[in-house]
Amino acid sequence: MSAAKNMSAAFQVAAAMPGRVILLALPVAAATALALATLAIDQGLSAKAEQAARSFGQDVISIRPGARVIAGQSGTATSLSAEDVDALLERLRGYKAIEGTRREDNVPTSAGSKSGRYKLFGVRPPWADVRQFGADRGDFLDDDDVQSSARVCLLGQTPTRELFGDQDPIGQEVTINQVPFRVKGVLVTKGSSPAEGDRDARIVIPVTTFYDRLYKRVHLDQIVVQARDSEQATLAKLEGDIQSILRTERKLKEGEKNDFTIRLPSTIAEQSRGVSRNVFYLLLGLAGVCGLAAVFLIVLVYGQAVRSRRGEIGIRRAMGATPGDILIQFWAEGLVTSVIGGLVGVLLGIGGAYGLAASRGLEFGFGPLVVVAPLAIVVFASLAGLIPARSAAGLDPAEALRPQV
Amino acid sequence: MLIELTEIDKSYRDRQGQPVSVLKQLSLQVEQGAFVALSGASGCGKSTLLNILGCLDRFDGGEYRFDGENVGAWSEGQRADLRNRRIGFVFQAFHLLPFLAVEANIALPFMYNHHGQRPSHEHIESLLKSVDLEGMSQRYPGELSGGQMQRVAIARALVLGADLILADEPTGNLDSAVAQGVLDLFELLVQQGKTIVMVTHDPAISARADRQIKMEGGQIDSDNRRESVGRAK
Ligand SMILES: Nc1ncnc2c1ncn2[C@@H]1O[C@H](COP(=O)(O)OP(=O)(O)OP(=O)(O)O)[C@@H](O)[C@H]1O
Ligand SMILES: [Mg+2]
Repeated sequence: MSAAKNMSAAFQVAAAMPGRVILLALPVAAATALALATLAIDQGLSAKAEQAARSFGQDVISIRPGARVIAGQSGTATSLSAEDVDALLERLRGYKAIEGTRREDNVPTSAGSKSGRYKLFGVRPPWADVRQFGADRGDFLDDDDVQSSARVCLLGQTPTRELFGDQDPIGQEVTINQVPFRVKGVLVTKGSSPAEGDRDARIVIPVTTFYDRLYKRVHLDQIVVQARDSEQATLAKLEGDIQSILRTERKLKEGEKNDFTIRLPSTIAEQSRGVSRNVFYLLLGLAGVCGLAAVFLIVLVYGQAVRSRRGEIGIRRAMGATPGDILIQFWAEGLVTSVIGGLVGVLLGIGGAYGLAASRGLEFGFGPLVVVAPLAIVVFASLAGLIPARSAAGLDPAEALRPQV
Repeated sequence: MLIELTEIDKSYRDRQGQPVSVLKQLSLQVEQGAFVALSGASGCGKSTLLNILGCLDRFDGGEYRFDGENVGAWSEGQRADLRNRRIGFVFQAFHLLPFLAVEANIALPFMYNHHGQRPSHEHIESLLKSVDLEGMSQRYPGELSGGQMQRVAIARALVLGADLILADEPTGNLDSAVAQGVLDLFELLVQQGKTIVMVTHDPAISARADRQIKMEGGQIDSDNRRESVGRAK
C-alpha cells in the first residue's frame, strides 16, 4: 500500500523532470537495443549457418583444389587427382568413406523444347550416402553405371521442374552438353545454402561418364572425406592427417602454402554466416560499454540528485516517511528510467533487427539469449539505482533539514 | 502535559570522534495549547532541541514523554507515525517541493499516513482559506511570495490534524510585516487548541508568544510566562 504511494511520489518527480529521465533512459535504451538487435541477427545467422553445415553433412570434410577462397567458389588450380584419393584411402585412418567428384557449372541441358543450365556432378555410388544426396524417386547410380561409363543421370528438383514440369522424368531422355542421357531418378530436395546456392539445381552422372563422354579432365574438383562421427575432435584429427598426407603426396616443402583447401562443417558454417563473428563481438562489446555507461550515469546523476534534494528528503522524513519509504521512492525514480529505457531499447532493437534483416537479406531469431541479455542490462541499471536510493534512505533527517552551506 | 523532557543529554561527535555536548540535563514541560518562543545565541542548541521534540533526532540520556508516552524508546516506524499524525514542522527554508502544485504539497503528509482518508479537495481549500491563500491550490511554489510559501508550509503541517507545531525560525526569511501575518495565524491556531514551539531570534516575534524561553550553552537560562490577561481565550 505505502509502496504504491512511494511509487507515485517517484512518478511525480519523474514527470516533473522529463529531461533527466530521457537523458538517463537513453544509454539504457542504446545498450538494450544494440544487444538485442546484435544477438537477434547473430542468432538468425547462426541458425542459417548451422543449417548449412547440417545440409552439407556434419561428418563430412571437403577438400578443394587451390588455396583458401571465398565461400561458395572453388579454386581454379588443378591440383586434386585420383592419386590424392588413393593416397588418402591408403594412409588415412578413421574415415568412413572418401569420394572424389568432378564438377562443371552452367552446363547446357535440354529435354524436348525446354532447356536450362545446371551444375553437373560426376560421382560414384557412395557419394549418395556421404552427402546424403540420394534418389527421391527412381534409382541412384550403381557400380555398373560407373564401370560402363553409362549415359544415365539423376536430376535435381530444379531441372526436374524446369524441364519436365508435371511430367515424370524417369526413363525420359535429356541432352547434357549435346550428349543424350537417360534419367534414372530424381534427387532429394535440399534447398539452397549460402555456401552452395540452389543445391537442387544440379544433375548427377557417373564420374567415369563425366570424363569419357563430356569433359576430358583428369583432375578432381572436390574430395569429400566422411568421418566415423561428427565429433569436433575426430574432425580436427582427420583434418590434420589429411593435410600432412596431401602435403607429402605433393611434396610441398616446409613454409610452402597448401595448394588445396580443407573445410570442416564448422568452417562451412562460419563461411555461410556471411558476416564475421568478430563484428558481433565488437557490437556486443559496444552494448556492454553502453550498459556500463548507463549504470555509471544512473549512480552519478541520482547520487547528485540525492545531494541536491537533502531538504526534500528531510521534510519527507519529518512528515512521517521512514527510511524504507525514501528508499522505495528514490529507487523507483531510477527504476522508471531503467524500465523506460529498456522498453524503448527493446522496440528499437526489434525494429533495428527487422530493418537490418530486410535491407541486407539477413535473418534473425529470438532465442533465450536475445531475451536474457537486454533483461540483464535493465536489471543492472535497476540495481544501480539502489546505490543512490540507499544513501538517500540513510540520510539523518535532522542533518538533511539543516540549512545548506 | 503534552511535552515532558527530563534531564535530556545530547552530544554530537566532532571530526576527531570526540563527543561535543549540545544539550546538558535539559528539562522542559509544555502543556497542551501553549505558545512557546525559544531563543538564544546561535549554536546554543535550539534546533537540536526542536528536532528532539519532533522525534527527528535521538538523544543520549534522559527521558522524553509525549502526551504521556515514552516516545524516546519507540522504534523508528512508531516515531515516523507519530510525526505524521501529531506533529507539524515549519522551517525557515519552507521546504516545499517545487515540482508539486500547492494542493499536492499540502497533501504530501497523507502519502506517509496509514490510517485516514486522503484529504479532500474541500478540506484543502478550507485550509488554504484559513491561511489566507484561497484559490491558490493550483499554483506552484515558484509563483508564490515568501510569506505565501510559509503559509502553504503551515497548511501542510496542519493537514492531518497535528496538535503540535514545531517552527524553526519560521519568519527568518520574511520581512516584518509578513512575519506579523504568520504570527497572527499562529495565535489563531493556539486559540484553536494547537501547541506551538517556535524558535526565533527576533524579540518582537517572541514577544507575541505566551512563554519565552531563553537558552544558553545547552541549558534553559530563563523561562518567562506572560500573564494570560491580554489574551482572549
Ligand atoms: N550533526 C552535527 N555534528 C556536529 N555538531 C553539530 C551537529 N549538529 C549541530 N551541531 C552543533 O550543535 C550545536 C547546536 O546546534 P543547533 O543547530 O541546535 O544550534 P541553534 O541553536 O539552532 O543555532 P542557530 O540559532 O544558529 O540555528 C552547534 O554548536 C552545532 O555546531
Ligand atoms: Mg537552528
